[in-house]
This record gives sequence, structure tokens and C-alpha cells, in this order.
Amino acid sequence: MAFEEEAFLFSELRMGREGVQFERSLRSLAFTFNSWCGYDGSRKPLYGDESRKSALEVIYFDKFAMFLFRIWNELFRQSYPEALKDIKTSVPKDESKLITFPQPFQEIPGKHGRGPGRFDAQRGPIYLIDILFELQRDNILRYFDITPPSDQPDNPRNYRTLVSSGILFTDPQQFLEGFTDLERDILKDLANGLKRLGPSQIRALGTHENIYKTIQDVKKELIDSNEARQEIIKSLDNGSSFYNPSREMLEYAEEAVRKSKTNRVDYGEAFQIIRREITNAKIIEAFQKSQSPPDVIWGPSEMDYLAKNAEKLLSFSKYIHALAHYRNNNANRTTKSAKESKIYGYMWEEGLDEMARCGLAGFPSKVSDVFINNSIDIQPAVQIHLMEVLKGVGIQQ
Amino acid sequence: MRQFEPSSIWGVPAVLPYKSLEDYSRTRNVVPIARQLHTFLLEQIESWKPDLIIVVERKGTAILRALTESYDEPLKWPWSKVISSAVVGQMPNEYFHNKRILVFDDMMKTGIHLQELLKSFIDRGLWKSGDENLRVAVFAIHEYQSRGIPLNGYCVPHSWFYRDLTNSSFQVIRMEIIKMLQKAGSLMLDTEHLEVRVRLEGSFNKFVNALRRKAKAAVFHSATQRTNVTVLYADDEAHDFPQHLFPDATRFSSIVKKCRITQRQDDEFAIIPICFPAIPNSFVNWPNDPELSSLFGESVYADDMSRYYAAGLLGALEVLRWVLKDLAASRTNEYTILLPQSPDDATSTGGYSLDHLTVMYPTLDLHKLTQRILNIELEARSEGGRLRSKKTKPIQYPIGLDEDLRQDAVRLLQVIRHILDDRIMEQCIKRGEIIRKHPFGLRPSEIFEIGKKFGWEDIRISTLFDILIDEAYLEPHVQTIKDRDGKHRMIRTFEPDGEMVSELVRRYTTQWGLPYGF
Repeated sequence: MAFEEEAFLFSELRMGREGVQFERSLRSLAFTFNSWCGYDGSRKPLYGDESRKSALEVIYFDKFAMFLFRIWNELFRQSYPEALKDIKTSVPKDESKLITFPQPFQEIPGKHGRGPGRFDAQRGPIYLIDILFELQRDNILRYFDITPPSDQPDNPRNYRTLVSSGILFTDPQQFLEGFTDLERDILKDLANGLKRLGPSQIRALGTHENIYKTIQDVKKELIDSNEARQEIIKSLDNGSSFYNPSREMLEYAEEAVRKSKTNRVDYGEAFQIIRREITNAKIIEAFQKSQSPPDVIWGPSEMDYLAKNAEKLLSFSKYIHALAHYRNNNANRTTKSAKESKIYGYMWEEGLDEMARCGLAGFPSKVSDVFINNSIDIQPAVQIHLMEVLKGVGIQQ
Repeated sequence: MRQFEPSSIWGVPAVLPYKSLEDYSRTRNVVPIARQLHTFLLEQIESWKPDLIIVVERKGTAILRALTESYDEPLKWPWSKVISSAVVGQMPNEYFHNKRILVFDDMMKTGIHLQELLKSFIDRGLWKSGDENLRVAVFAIHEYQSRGIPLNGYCVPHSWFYRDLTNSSFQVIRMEIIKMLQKAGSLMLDTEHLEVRVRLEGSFNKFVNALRRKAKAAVFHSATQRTNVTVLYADDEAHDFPQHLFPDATRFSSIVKKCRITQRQDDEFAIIPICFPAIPNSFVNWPNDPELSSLFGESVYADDMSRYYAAGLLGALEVLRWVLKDLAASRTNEYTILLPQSPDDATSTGGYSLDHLTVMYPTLDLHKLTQRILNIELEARSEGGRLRSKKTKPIQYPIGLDEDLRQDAVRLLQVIRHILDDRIMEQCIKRGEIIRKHPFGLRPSEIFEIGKKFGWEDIRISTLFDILIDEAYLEPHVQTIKDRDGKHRMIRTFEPDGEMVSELVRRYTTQWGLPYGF
């Protein structure tokens, strides 16, 4: 019996391809981001603050990259059959009409949803911002300027880290040398669309793509909050501080509400802007394939149910986190003037209001009514009620 | 070799140093890998004179079988003096006393499997500092462990054929070994599975249609062009198990329940039934059936792994029954079942034996097993004969071209690696550090779910499993998991075979993206 030479299962692997991919990926991001940073026209500001018009906080930058990479990968998939045919027949095709590579940065898990990065088998997840910061430190491919906060200069992941464009170019054609004609057209059109989005719209568009993933993301926030919930129950039981776990729970709840409800507005606005501004037919097709309309994501009843769950958890989280603060800080229970006590005062009031709307009743509205004789000990009836609610909010795995 | 411009975005094909026999012999003065392995092992045997060889799973076993059964100058070593590292825990200390033990592994990078085995020996007092009763021989060692592993005052391994191998050289040798095994008849040569041979005297298509009487069957060709058939059985009444034979609370649904039929010679095929019921991981009541005890020996109850494999063998015997019944029920007589030779029976015409099973089942009574197979064949022939009058239409599932299957196999492997990496990252985020569990794979049900997302039929997914395992891209493990009913059970899981394959898959995903929908 004759045996043929074995066929290597990964015969499409290429040497030297990744290096080019990474460099062009960063250049594609730099090009579009540079356009955003340099845009003078009007767009939705963040919290009414116009001062950071030419820079994005790291979370928003991450979502900017997520959206760009998502659309690019969808465009690559349209080109993929042609690319594969090219390799198998070894007849070089007209590359000018192809997207020649997928983005090498993948969606990897993060604490509050997925973000662009890489998996290192030895080190675990490495996020895009970590990679860019390392490149900046080594002065290689300095396409971005990353400025962590002064109190944490080595932590680019800190939410206060600012990212701005690190490049200056006058000739886009030259800057995009090496990209195919189609790739250049795509990048120019995407840059034109993206620059009109405000940070919150970028965040929403990068975060969401379809109902399936959004539901998964919301559920994940709620399920991940369970550990913090259990910690609070334990702490209440043994009379110890529950400040940290309540802050954790609040964080998860905020994200859950943002994803299940509040992002809808920004997402809808961003969706319209992109559809209005993008003219390239391939991008339009890719966009339609990869981004569902807002009513498809937030319309169904399951999302509604999750949103209600998330809001309930958020309202309660505000209340209990403020309570945790007051437990640790007797003085702030009556003083309203200090900034910190103002913050927690608002949180307390908001928590109460929102809990009332969610049907969570029976909690003291005055801080003084929670504690026994102004001590750190919580009134037994209040403690029991807190624990009952803690066991019921959120969702079980 | 296809050539591309180096400056092209497509890059240069990732050339394996070994592309063709011609290239290979031109660039190096090469002795075939089988010969090298044979020389290495023979030298260890002749110089060390072991009483027992322990083969480190999984390829160690397959290599030994290839060298003793398929090689031109068979290595002469009795199976009774070989035991798998997977079942060392089953054997009492007395089994190893006063024996010179040779531990053989084909390749070592991190040495994790070897260390686990040797540490178990140390813990059991079977290998103390200064003892000269144990020798470790590894054929090829990666530069990662070029200094060896310090254990018990020794630096292991004691002997090797290749050392300080770079990534690419390590990969080359790995591919050569796999190719050797495929030429010898695929990695199913490993000793976990029983096999029964069949000689076709007529149409192959009729043979496959017979298998399709009550099952789904798909034909594909391995990388070395051997014809293979994957036969998949559904979770239905016709394919149920005699539960009284298995431990209480064994799960029989959503398990590996199939048959591989692989070409040995032009017209001779091996029927390899594969079945691994999910058994509880604690010793709940396993019927103290004297027949089972005498078949496997008492030591089968010694630990979880032994129980798991014993349950697997019992399950495989049932699958064998279904295959033989379907063949017997077909209207074709164009095949002959060749039964294995019993240890005390020289009259069998099968021309092969199941002696290799003692590697994984060291106390297995081969005579009883062979008799059991014979009985199953007789019963299946009788039952099948009665079914001949019933007309059934073979279940047809066109599987497509081999090339398409291989492409799908790559996609499946990508997604498996992606999901496992995701889980590692999730754990890392939760715990703040990377924890590499071993084993750590996906369950069969999870892989079938992935396949369904691709829009593939079960039979296609099962065939892809076989392609990936045959080419040593996918490695099966045994893992304890918490089942949906809350019970902890031992099940089969699968993950890309080692860090080398995993890195290959990750690179592929980087270069070509994940499949759509993932």
C-alpha cells in the first residue's frame, strides 16, 4: 500500500506574519484614533466636560479599539475565502481589493467584560493598554501617549489613565503605506465615522454587539457579584467591616445596570451616527453583521428582567455601601459638610429612593436608626432584614 | 514547496524542517525514527536488563506497540513485562519489589508527567535515595529541561537519544514519531482499547452501510491515506447498557460511545469500540460480581483510574456487540470476523492477540476476555441473523471531502483552545495568578455543543475528534467533574496535545482569526 506524504493540519501557518499583523494593527488604531483626537467638530461630551476632547480615559480607549477590531475582523472574514484560495493555489491575487489580516488582538476576559489583548501561556491575560504602555516605555512604535495618574504612574490600567494620539502626520497615504487600497479606504471611512462619537457613545458601541453577548455580560456581572454578596453576609454575621465587599458589589451592580439599560441611549446614538457617516458599502455590510440595532439588544423581555434585577441590586448596593462607610466612620453620620460624607450622603439618599422604586422597603431612612447607640453595631432587626435581602438580590449561578 | 514573496503580508509558509523524505535525506544523514527508537530502547533493555518497563502515557505505549508489532525487526519484549504509568497506582508495592524498572517516555519538555510518576514512587517508598532499581529513559529532551530533573539524589532522565532540542527540532521529532505511528495504524495502537479484526471480501460500501443500520457512520482518510470509519451511537434504547455491571450512579448519556474502524491492510480492518461511562469518583457500590472480579482481578477496585478504565472496557464490549450485531443483520456475507488469539489457543485464525491490553489492565485475564469476545460474537451473530428479515434503510450522512474535514478539524481545535484559554484567564482574573491545572480539558458534550454552533451533525463532530486524536493534536484525559446532578464523576475530557500544539493553534488563530461566531 502506498502512503502519501502527510498533510500538515496547519499548512496555512506563515512565518513572519504576526509581526506585520501587530504593527499594522497598531497603525490602523493609531490612524483612526488620531483622527478622533484631532477632530474639532461637535460631539457628545462626557459629563459635560469638554476639557479632555483630545484624549480618552483608558476604558473608552479600550472600547474604541474593540469596535475598530470587531469591524475589521468582520471585513477580514469577507475577504478570508479569497485569501485562503490564494494560499492554496499559490497564485498571488490582487491584494488591493482584500483585507489581508485579522486583528491579532483578541477579545479576552476582563473584570467587567471583554477587552482587546493577548493570552500569554505563562503570564495570563495581557491587555492592549499594557502592551502599548510597555512599547511606550521601550520607545518602540510610539503611536500613543499613555499617561497614568500621578499617584500610580506605572499602572496604565488605572481608570484615570489618559490616552491621546502620539503621532503627527500630514500625509495619510504615507502613514498607511503597506496597507492595501481597500484597507486604506476602510480606515479613512471608519476614522470619519468614529471621530464624531463622544466617549460614552464609543464605550457603548465597543461594549455591545448583539443580544446574546449582552445578556451573557449582564449575567456575568450579576453572578460575579455573588462572591461579594457572600462576603457581606459573612461580615454582617460576625460583626466585621463590609466596606470592601460592598464596594465590589456596587461596582458590579453599576456595570450590570449600565449594560442592561443605560447604555441603550448612547448605543442608539452611536449606531445612528455610524450609519449616517459611513459610506463604504463593505463597512456598512460588516457593521450590519456585527452590530445589532438597539431595540434588538434591549427590546426582549429577558433583557428587561435582567435590567430590573440589576437595578434592584444597584439600589441596594448603594444603600449598603453607604451604610458600610457610616459603620466605619461614626463622625460622618451627622456631618454633611465634608466631601466624603456628601458623596455617601447622596449615595444613601439615592439608594433609598431607588430601593423604594424597586419595591425594597423596610429599611431605616436615618443613619442613626441603623446603629445601636451610635456604635458600629447594627440593630438586629435591620441586620436580619439586610441579610434577607442580600440572599435574594442578583441572580444565582 | 509553495513560495511567496517574503515581504508579502501573507508571510512565508511555516516550513517544517521535514517536508519530504527527499528533503529529509538530502539535508541530514537520516535513519528512520522507528530505527532510532528501536536502537534506543534495545540498548536500554540490553544494558539495564529491566524486569519491567513502565511506559509513560500516551505516546510511550503506542510507540512500544508499533516497535513490537509493526516494525520490520520487532522489538522482542513481552507485554506481561510492561505496565502503563496510568495504572501504576493500581498495583500494590509488592508488584514492584525486587524488580529492575525501566521508565520509558518518548519526549520530555517540562517533564510534568514523569515527575508525577516518579514522585508517586518516592511517596510509596519504592524508590529511595541511593536505590539503583529504577532507570528513566527519554528518547528526546527539550532544551527547557536540558539540566534534567533533580529527584532523589539523581538527575533524571538517566539516558536519552536526543537532548537540548530547540522548539523546532522538538517539533520535527514529534511529527516524525506521529507519522511513524500513523503508518503503523494510527494512535489507536495505544493500549486502552480492545480490537477485533474484520477482513472484507466484498464491497466496502456495503460494509459501511451495514454499520449504518442503527448508527451514524462516516468514512474519512487519515493523513497517511488509511481508510477510517467513525461510527457513532445515539443515546437511545437500542444502545443502552446493562447497568448492573457498572458502579451505582454511573452516567451513560452524553459520553464517548462510538467505534473506530481503521484500515490495517488492504482488506483488513480493526474494529475498535470506544466507550467511557462516567463513573462516580468515590467507591460507591460496584457490584461484587465474581465474574467481573475474575476478569479484571481485584486490583481493579484499587483506585479511581483503574475503575474508570475497567468500566471503559466493559462499555467497549457492549459497543462491540452493537457493531457485530449490525454487521450480522446486514444482508452481506462479504466479510469475515477474525477473532483475537487466546493466550492458550493456537487454533485461532485471527493472527493477532490482545496481549497489549495488559499494559493498561495488568491483572486482566486475557483468556476470559477473549472468551467473552467470542461469546459476544456468537450472540451478535445469532441476534443479527434474526434481524435480517427486517428491512432497514442505512442512515446516510454525507460527510464531505477529507480536505473539508481537516479544515473543520482546525476550526474545532481553535475553538477548544480558545475556550480553555478563556477559562484560564477567568481564573487568573479571579485569583490574581495563573493556575495551570492538569488535566484541564473540555467535556465531550461541550465539544459537541461547539460543533452544533458550526452547524455540524454529531457524526461529523465525532469524525473530527478522530482526525485530531490520530494526528496527536487532541489529547484525551480523565478528569473528575461535578455533574449536573451534583455528583462527582470521572469523565473523558479533551484538550490540545501539549504546549507545542497549543502554541501552534494560538498562532493560527492570530494569523487567520477565530471562526465566525466565536
